[in-house]
Amino acid sequence: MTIRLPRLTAALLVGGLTIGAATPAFGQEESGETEGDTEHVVNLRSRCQQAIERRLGDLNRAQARIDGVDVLTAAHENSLDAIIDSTESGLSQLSASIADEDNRLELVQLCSQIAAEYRVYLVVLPQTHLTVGADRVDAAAARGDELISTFDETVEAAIAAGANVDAAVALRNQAVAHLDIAESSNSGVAAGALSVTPAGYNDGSGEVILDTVRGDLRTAHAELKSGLKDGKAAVHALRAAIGDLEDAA
Amino acid sequence: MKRAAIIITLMLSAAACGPTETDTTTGSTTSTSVPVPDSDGPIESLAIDPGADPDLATTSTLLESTGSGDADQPTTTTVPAVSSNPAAGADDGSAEALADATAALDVLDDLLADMGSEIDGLAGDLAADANANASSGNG
Repeated sequence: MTIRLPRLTAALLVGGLTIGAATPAFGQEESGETEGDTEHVVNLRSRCQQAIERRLGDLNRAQARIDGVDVLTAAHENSLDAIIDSTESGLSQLSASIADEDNRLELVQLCSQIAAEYRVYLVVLPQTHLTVGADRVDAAAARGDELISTFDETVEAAIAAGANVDAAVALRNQAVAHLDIAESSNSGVAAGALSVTPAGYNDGSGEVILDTVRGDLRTAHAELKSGLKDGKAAVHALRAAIGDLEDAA
Repeated sequence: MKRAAIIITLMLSAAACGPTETDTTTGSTTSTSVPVPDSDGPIESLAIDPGADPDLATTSTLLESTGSGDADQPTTTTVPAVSSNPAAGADDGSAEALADATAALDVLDDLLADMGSEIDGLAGDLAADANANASSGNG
């Protein structure tokens, strides 16, 4: 025999069962520890551990990058190493605390420290990239200086050979002007980036500093690109001037 | 007849002996004992009288210090050989400057490439910074 219930009645019945399953029994509420709370704590703990693992993985990649680049000064490399080491150490200790914590409210408080206390994505990784970038500007500018020095010697030889180097020298001077601006813009980038702490970011000052040095680094990048463009044009003009002499010879 | 024959014999002997004695006196110290190569003038002079000319004496020191024993090598770099043709020296300087400038162009190309490489790396740093910032969420 089949009992046929009206659809609305069946829906209410299913809904009531669902609510009943989700709602703790009266006795459980009295003890403060519910099955739902336990599940919530387990899920929260898992999510927090994953957040820490993701940050530790990104810090490892940042450390590998620091170890891999050859443009970093020793002082900057030491500073970044210290920042990453202390961040990894702090996050590992926090992970252990989270693993031991069963109280939901305590767990929420611990998990909130992952971002606010360490600022891996808003401070540590940016200051790593910005510091490496700043030292790379210096490296590129040093190449530029070497380029200009060699260019000047070549110009002297070309003049001695009888070449007209006016156009090449004018382009060379434009390249030098761009390189000077790049170096000037970059002068405070690394120090500024390394000065920011998670606490400084949280009070607002760190974000201002990072935004400023980020803009300076972008300016330096643009000026280096312009300097390279003019440098290539200068070498091209010098090659043409020397080529004219060779053709005449 | 006999007398005539004797006179003829004496005349022939005199004609044969005269040139031989002359050659012996004039040729014995020059044509057979000292080589006279035109291109090695300073070296020949050095062999005859090394102390007569300070420049040549210097050349002598060079030869001894290098120990080459080959008179042809140092003569190509001695001052007298270069200064003997100033016009040719000026031409060589110009050509040398042109060669230097041409060779330096390759070095400049390498430096431009190095600089471009660093700038590309910088673009990567800026992109990585932007990515970290974009994926930061709240922190």
